[in-house]
Formats: sequence, structure tokens, C-alpha cells
Amino acid sequence: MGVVEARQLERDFGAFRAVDGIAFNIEEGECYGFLGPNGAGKTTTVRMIQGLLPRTGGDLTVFGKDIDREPVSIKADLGVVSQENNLDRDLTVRQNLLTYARYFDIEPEVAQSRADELLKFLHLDGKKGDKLSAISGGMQRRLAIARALINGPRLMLLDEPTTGLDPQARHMIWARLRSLKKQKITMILTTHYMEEAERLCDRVAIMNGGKILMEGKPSELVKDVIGEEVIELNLGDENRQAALNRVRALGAAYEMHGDTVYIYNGRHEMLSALVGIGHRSVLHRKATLEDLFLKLAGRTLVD
Amino acid sequence: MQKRLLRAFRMWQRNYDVFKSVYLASIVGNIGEPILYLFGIGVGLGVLVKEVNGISYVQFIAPGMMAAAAMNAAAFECTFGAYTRMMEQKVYEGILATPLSIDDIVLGEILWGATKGLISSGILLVILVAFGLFDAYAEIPLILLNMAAFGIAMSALTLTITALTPGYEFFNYFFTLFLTPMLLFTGIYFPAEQLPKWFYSIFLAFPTAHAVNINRYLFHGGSATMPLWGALFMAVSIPCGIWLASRMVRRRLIP
Ligand SMILES: Nc1ncnc2c1ncn2[C@@H]1O[C@H](COP(=O)(O)OP(=O)(O)O)[C@@H](O)[C@H]1O
Ligand SMILES: [Mg+2]
Repeated sequence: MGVVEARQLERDFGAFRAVDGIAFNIEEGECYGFLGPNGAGKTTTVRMIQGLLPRTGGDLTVFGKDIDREPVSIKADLGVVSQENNLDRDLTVRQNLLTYARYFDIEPEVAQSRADELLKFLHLDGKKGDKLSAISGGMQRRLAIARALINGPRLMLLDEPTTGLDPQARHMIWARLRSLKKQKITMILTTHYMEEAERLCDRVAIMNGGKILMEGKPSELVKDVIGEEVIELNLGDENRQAALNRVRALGAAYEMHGDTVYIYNGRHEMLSALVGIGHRSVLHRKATLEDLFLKLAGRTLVD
Repeated sequence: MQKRLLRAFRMWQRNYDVFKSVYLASIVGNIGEPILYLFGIGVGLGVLVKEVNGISYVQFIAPGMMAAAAMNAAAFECTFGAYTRMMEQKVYEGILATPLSIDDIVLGEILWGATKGLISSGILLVILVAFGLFDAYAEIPLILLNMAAFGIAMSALTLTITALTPGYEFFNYFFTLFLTPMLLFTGIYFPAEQLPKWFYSIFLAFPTAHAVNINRYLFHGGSATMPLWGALFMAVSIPCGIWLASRMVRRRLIP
């Protein structure tokens, strides 16, 4: 039985359907990603899983229980990092953890040692007594993760854990999340960074317009839809049509986004056929989730 | 039920912890004003008024001033304070990811608002005792019970309004158009009998007039009719108010 199971899950806001009949089954210990542009319905899905939003239709169970019926016992084993920080700004860094532990009815001594452990784990032990206004955005995000771990959750929900952070802060959070993965904590992560999904997720669901377009292992999805490699050609403004004709003559699948042509399953031999095509730059590389993402929904999916 | 109360108490504790760290500023704000009124109006006007119903003017207004202190503290906490936690800082949202529910949070907020009211009115009582303006010592438990019940009723009412409030600016109207009349026309500064009956009866639909009547009865005795109606009002309005506040906060937070 899955940790989270959804069937025909729906959520309306007035006449607008934000989540439109999705199904998924998340296994114990896996990291499952919801990948999609803004407005795809990722946050709405996460909020339904955490029992914050009642669903409009369909089935949703967490740990085999209906979240709308048994929220208290389910939430006891959940750790949530919301998209928008909702840390307690009236409290210091360490107080945030201790106060949160109390909501879970954790003994004060246990809470204190756990809080100190988590602050160390997230490299915040130098900031214990600081006010939230005194620490950076990346640190606040790490504190939000520490807070979500205070009850030793079986399932973590991470809604865009690294959006808006600088690369260094992002890498630090990735490293922490990977080490949580090793501890076999089930994780649900939403993101619109392909790289993040590729690095962390065992499986991803690609969402758009409230629907899941595709689901699977990132590498397999990419391989099945795009192929192993991609040739990326940045074309100049002149002779674009002539250049496109030569690309077409290769007989490979390709797609154009902006002034860049992506040739899927682009093999090495093709490069020689493209000599003198009048490109600004050419890149022969491994196919990524980003290629899949671009291809799946074309221009409309990208915000 | 016990677990429910424990969860609500967790919310109360959160507010208490924050209060502890800034408590001097809070106390000055909540209690400074009623003390100024007590002595400014009580002693100042007392020179002109001399006696009301056979007692000195400052003694006459003392029970009502206690209710006013409780009202201000509870209302302030459950408007500006609660709105900041609910909408600005998203504290409720953070807590909703724990075993606490909206009902637990709302009950905790109401109990906290009542606690603030009890602290403010309690300090005023201490001041009254210190200045020899109070002698009904046997009634102290009932007086505090009245202030606690009033604080709960007032907190539930103001939290309901907060859940419906579009933004901070609205609270200015609320304080001017709702709380100021509650101070002026509920028998705190002059006997309510001087008001037209129909006019005073509007105020009997809210908790303040009842809290004042009960407190004055406990301080100075007199007819028990209105205080008994007041007790009944509290008994009915508290559960209804808590229920309504929960419902409105839920509606505000869950689209
Ligand atoms: N409270 C709400 N009221 C109305 N529409 C909403 C509400 N929350 C989300 N939506 C709409 O639902 C859609 C999905 O939103 P969301 O789940 O936040 O997407 P994502 O997290 O993938 O960016 C968006 O079009 C958004 O505008
Ligand atoms: Mg989102």
C-alpha cells in the first residue's frame, strides 16, 4: 500500500478547476516530484495532502487513512515546508522549533535535544538565539525544513523548497534533502527547477493545467520521449529559414523555442551535417528533464 | 475533549511565550490607559459629582473600569494581534500543519484574549485595593470569574469580526464606532438608568453591559435581576461565540 494514494482527485475554486482528476501512488521511502509551471496545481495538491484544503472530489488517503476524516493522527506523522514561509516571526530560531514541538506534544527534554540536533544538521547552530528578521532567506528556508523534521515525520511535503534562493543556498538544501532520502523518509517535492527534480526525485509527475501529463522515473521519461542526447543550435536572425530546412533534412525530431532549435536524439554524425548552417552556437549534450518539459507542452507550458 | 483543550492550550502557550518576552511594553499599554481614566475621570470628575447611588464617584466607576480594562485588552489582542498572526505572519497556516485544527487555534486565541483581559483587570483590582477603593474581598473569586467569562465572550466576538475584516484600517472604525460606545453607554461612567431604555437595550445584546452590571453588583450589591440576566447572557453567548468565531476563521482561511 502506498504512503499517499490519490484517485480522480479534484479541487475547484469557484468555477475554476485547479486540480483536475489526478491519480498517483507514492511508495514508502521514495522521493516523488510534482513538476510544473506556476499555476499547474502543485500547491493545491500538496495542500490537499496535508489536510489544509478539503478536496472537491475523488479519493485521497495518507498512510491508508482519509485525510479529511482523520487529520489529527495523520498530521502527527507529517512534516510540511510550505511554498511561502510561515515561520513564527515573533519567536527566535530555536524557539520556533521548541514551540512547534509542543504542538506535537513532544516532551520538552526530547524537543530540546532534537532541536539542537536539527539546527546542527541544517547548519543553523550559530543562529539559535537570532530573530527571524536577522537571518537570510536561505537560512529561513533551512529553518522551515528543520521545523518540519521536529516530529520525526514519516512523510515530508516540500513545496518549492529552493525557489528564490541563490545557487549556493540551493545546493546546501539539496545536500540535506539527499541525506534525508538516505534515511528513507518519504518525500513529496514540488518544483519548477528541472535540475532539482532530476537530482532528488525517484519519480516525477509532470503537471500542467491541473492534470498530470506524464509520470515516471526522470531518466526513463527523458529517454522515452526525447532520447539520450540533444543537439542545441542557437540560430542567428539571418538565413533562419534556410537553416531550418537543413535541420529538417536530418530527419530527426526537433523543436524550436525562441531562437534555439532542439534536435532530439541528436547523434554525433549529425553535427557534421550542420557545418556552415549559420548558427551562433551549438551544443551537443545529454537530454534532460527540461527538454522533456519543453517538448511536452510546447510554448504554452512555459510561463 | 481533554485532548482538544490540551491542543488549544498549546496555542495559548505560544502567545504566552511571546507575551513574556515583551511583557513590560504590553502591560504599560493595556493598563496605563484605564489607570489614567480611573484617576483622571474618577478623581477629577469626582470633585463635581461627589456621590452616585450613595458611594463616591471613583468607587462608582471602579467596577466598570475593570470591565473596560478587560474589554480593551481582549479586543486589542483578538483584533490587531490575531489578524497579524492569521493573515500577515501566517502563523495559523504554520500551526495547521501540526495536529492542531482551526477549532483548536481559535479556542486558544480566545482563551489567550481572555487571559490578557484578566491580567489587565486584575492589575486594576490590585491598584484599587492599594488605594483603599475596594473592600468586597469575599467577592474576589466571583469578580475574577466574571472578568474571565467576559474576556472569553469579548474575545470570541472580536475574533469573529477579525475573521471578516478586510484589513487593518477597518479596526479603526471598529474601535471608534463599536468599542467607544461600549465604554460610554454601558453604565461604566454613569448609571445606565439615565439612558433611554430602548437605547440601552441595544447594548444588552453585547457582553460589556452585562459584565459591568455583574461587577457592580459584586462590588456594591443592589438588585440582582440584571446581574442574573447577565450571567445567563454569558452562559449562552460563550459557546455560541466560540462556535461562530471558529466558523468565520475557517471560512477566511479555507477557500
Ligand atoms: N485560493 C484560491 N482561489 C482561487 N484560485 C486559486 C486559489 N489557489 C490557487 N488558485 C488557482 O489554482 C491554480 C493552481 O494554483 P497552485 O496550486 O498554487 O499552482 P502551482 O503551485 O502549481 O503554481 C492557479 O491557477 C491558481 O490561480
Ligand atoms: Mg505553488
